[in-house]
Amino acid sequence: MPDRTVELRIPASSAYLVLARTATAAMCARLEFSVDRLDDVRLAVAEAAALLLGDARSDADLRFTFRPREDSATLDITIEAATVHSQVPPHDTFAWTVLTALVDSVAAVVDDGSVRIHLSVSPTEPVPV
Amino acid sequence: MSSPQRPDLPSPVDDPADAAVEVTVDDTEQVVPPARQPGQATETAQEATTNLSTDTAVEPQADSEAVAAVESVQTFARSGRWSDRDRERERDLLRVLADSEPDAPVRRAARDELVTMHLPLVEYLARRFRDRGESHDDLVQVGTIGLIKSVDRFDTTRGVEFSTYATPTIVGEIKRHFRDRGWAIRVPRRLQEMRLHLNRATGDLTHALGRSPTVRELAQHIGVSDEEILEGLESAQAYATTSLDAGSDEDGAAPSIVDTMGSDDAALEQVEYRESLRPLLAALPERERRIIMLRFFHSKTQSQIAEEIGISQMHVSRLLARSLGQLRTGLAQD
Repeated sequence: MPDRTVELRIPASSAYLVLARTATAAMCARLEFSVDRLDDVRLAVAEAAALLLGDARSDADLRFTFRPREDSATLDITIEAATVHSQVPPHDTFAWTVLTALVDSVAAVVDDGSVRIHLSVSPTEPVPV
Repeated sequence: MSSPQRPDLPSPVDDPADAAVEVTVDDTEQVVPPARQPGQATETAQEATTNLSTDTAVEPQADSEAVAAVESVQTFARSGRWSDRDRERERDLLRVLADSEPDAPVRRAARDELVTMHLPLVEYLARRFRDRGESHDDLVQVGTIGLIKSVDRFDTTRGVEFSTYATPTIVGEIKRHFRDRGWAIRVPRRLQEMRLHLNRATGDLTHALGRSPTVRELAQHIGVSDEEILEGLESAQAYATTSLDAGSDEDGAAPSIVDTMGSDDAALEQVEYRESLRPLLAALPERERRIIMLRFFHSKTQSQIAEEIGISQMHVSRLLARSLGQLRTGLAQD
């Protein structure tokens, strides 16, 4: 099976976020996500990007990696940027609440001056509790 | 516009182009079936139309009336004029309207016929607003409200032609419709039409499948490529982007702020910056706030929220994206 990973690198500016939105939607459409879900993922990617943009270094890039899992329809997305403070976003914020509500799982790690947010999404919504 | 005009019909008093300029506020939008509830105005039109047809015993002549109406439209479409026979009939009916008692059956019949015979005028005026992203049928329906108002308010002693009097009222209703649900920025006609298709197809498929459809399913249903669907979904976000300025639901369908605030508070307890968040949430219109709470604190899907609030999933999507942006900006300034 060929590697289906898609990568996108944009300047760390909200002006370029539309490219990430478009790539996210196209990727979800390829994987037969429902429109509801596609929209959730698109919102989540924008929210995660906004989180990183708030602390991104002025010369930083925003890097997006979309990696469909081979054994399932789950899509793993990482959003990464070199940040000033190199801190994991606090989990008790509204932005984090939004992220956790939109995708199946969300995590953040600091790696060599960069912050990486990892999102996992499946094509259908988890059943509401 | 090249359509022929009736001589005594003032060239549309208000330039339809104004509609595009005024287009700002988005309030209600097409609803997901089966909860398909037309907007308030549309209901009024339907009620009024229903009243018209039930008020009078028209059944025996229904066929001939239908034929006459079709002929009337055809005459109008061909020449932009009413036949002399219509003109005369109009005068007679207006006289009946002026002379009869308010509840007299003869008056109701006259009112009914006057409205019916002027429907081509509504058709004609609605056509002047074509290619602006609203369905012709919707425009005719709101225009008909204007026509009915005109019939009820017309004063024969003023000495103006009925159509002269009715035209600005009809155009006014149509323009109001645009104001209520227009595009905030100029979007190509192709995409405006795609939005209408998408809205309908999403609602239909959601109910047929019992879940939100995929892009491919939408593409197959509408008969376009996946890419066009994606483009349509993206551009639909541009529809009436000022809707956050719009007020709460007027129909009272949404519980009041007081009703939902208690459970919201409990949900917000988990959020560290709730003290900064609360005023920002409170500043959102009731409907947007409710959508935020349902989606992020009560785990409802967009389709479920669409159903619950009575707007389309695409509308929910748009309001969510916009409200989130506003909250983000507000929190960043804190």
